Amino acid sequence: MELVLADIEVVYGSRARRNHAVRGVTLHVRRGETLAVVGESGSGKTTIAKVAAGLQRATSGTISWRPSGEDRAEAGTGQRVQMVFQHPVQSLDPSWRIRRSIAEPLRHLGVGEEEADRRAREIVAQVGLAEEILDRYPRQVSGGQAQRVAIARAVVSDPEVVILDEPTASLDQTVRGRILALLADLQKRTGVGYLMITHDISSVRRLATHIAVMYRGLVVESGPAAAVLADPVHPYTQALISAVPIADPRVPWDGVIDLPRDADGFLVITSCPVPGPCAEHGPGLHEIGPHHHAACTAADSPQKAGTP
Amino acid sequence: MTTPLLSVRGLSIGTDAGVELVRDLDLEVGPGEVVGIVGESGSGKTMTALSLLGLLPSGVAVTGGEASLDGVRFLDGPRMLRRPNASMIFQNPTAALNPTARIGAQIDRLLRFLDRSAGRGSDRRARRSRAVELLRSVGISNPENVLGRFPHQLSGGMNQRVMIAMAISLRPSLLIADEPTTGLDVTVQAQILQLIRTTVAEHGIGVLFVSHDMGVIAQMCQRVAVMLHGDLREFAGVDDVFHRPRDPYTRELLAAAGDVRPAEGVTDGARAR
Repeated sequence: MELVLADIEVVYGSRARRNHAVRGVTLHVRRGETLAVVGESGSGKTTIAKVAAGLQRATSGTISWRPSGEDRAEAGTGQRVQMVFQHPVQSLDPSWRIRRSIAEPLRHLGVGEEEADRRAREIVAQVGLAEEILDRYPRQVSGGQAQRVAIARAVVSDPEVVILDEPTASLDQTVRGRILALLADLQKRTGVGYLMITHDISSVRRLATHIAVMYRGLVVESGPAAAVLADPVHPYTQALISAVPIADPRVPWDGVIDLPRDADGFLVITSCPVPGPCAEHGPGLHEIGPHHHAACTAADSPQKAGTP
Repeated sequence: MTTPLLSVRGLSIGTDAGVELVRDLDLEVGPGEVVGIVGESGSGKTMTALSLLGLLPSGVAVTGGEASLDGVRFLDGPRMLRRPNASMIFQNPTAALNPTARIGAQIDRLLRFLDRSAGRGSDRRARRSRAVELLRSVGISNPENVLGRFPHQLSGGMNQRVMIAMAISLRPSLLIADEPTTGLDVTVQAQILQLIRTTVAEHGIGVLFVSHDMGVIAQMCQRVAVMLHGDLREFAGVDDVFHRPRDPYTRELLAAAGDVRPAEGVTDGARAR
């Protein structure tokens, strides 16, 4: 099954103080694939994750499931969407043993206690933890272990899609690498689809098959991960990628962001060769390569917007 | 290497309960040099930084070793002999500033303190124009406006600029930066890193730069100390650390930071399903 979010709009606040957090976003999350939604504070990426998880009502737009070529012969028995949060320890009930946290989604599905316990033990092994951890409380495990527990809880009910909200942001770098490897391994085995919300480009490089770049509530560029990373077209995508310090002292990196900021601290897209109020409403997404889209009118012409 | 600006010899830090947090650490920073300390949670990197300014939390103390700045010893085991001429910037700038005072009042207080300790007269209006000048020097284009704001009304990146301005106003010979861009958006991080680079180069300040991010370390530092569980595992030039790492743990850190393209078996298998 494919999770389709179509034309999602989210407006927070009262009429007097409206915050248009998401302004008409369409995303597809397919089984076996990872869609990374990248962007900075205020881009709307966390809001779209909440909408996909059913934790936030969209002001308008639709969320639906569509059959896809990757479907399993048997439909999944579980809830279709699960979520993994940024702060693993806080995302677990402190008064529950790990066993109960992991088995909880199964209990909601009416799975018997014995069967739930068997599946909990099985999934704990799959996420690389020893069975003893089932008897511990969240405060008795490390951040990396807690995130493995949260992942186990998310996949135990065999969901179609797992939403990963900054899944490695609060973890050390070596732990981060292992968690990303675990997520990739689980995807390979179960075919689960991921919607990953992140600002960490190196996580994107490791896990994403597709990328959607969000800027002030809009998707400004989307496409296959390799194409977007290697050949970013939109000035904001270019700024985002070039801002990441390269982990090699021999590769010069000047960290210069040519774009100014407005009073709210948002980068203002000015380096577009085509003048116009592009940043406010965008020219709409244009296809600029195979499945690669950018909200950039100049991208239609053979000369791309900006220089690499 | 010429005479180091900062020299740390045999530094050990422990808790009152006898837990060793840092063991026998040797470290140095040359004049105008940026030296990184990289490691994970619990490596002792932040404790090392805090110990140099006498800022260790209660229940934690220096248990041995010594440190000198500009050739003058300031730390001798648990005793802080004098205040070193060093400033520090922190990971969460919004929390490091006083939440109840406007930026202008916080900078004014610092400038008044500086004038008093230099034994010179202090004029309110002169301080105001110095504050404006300071903020402008860290790339704040509307200093008058920022001086009237409270920290919570400014972004994290803007508050870190304010912290850097205040740190520099002390004319330190050493700047200690503890994860100064962790938690900031990447484009903001890039601008703050660039600001630190130009500021320290302009003033010839040595920097001890604590980070867990190998990308930041690679681009900011000339030498790098790698710490694990309180031990110094490697201390070498940045090119050696990244291209000829001697310690297995350094290699592990580099592997974790490496950008592995998704094509390498990760998504292919999933697609083939």
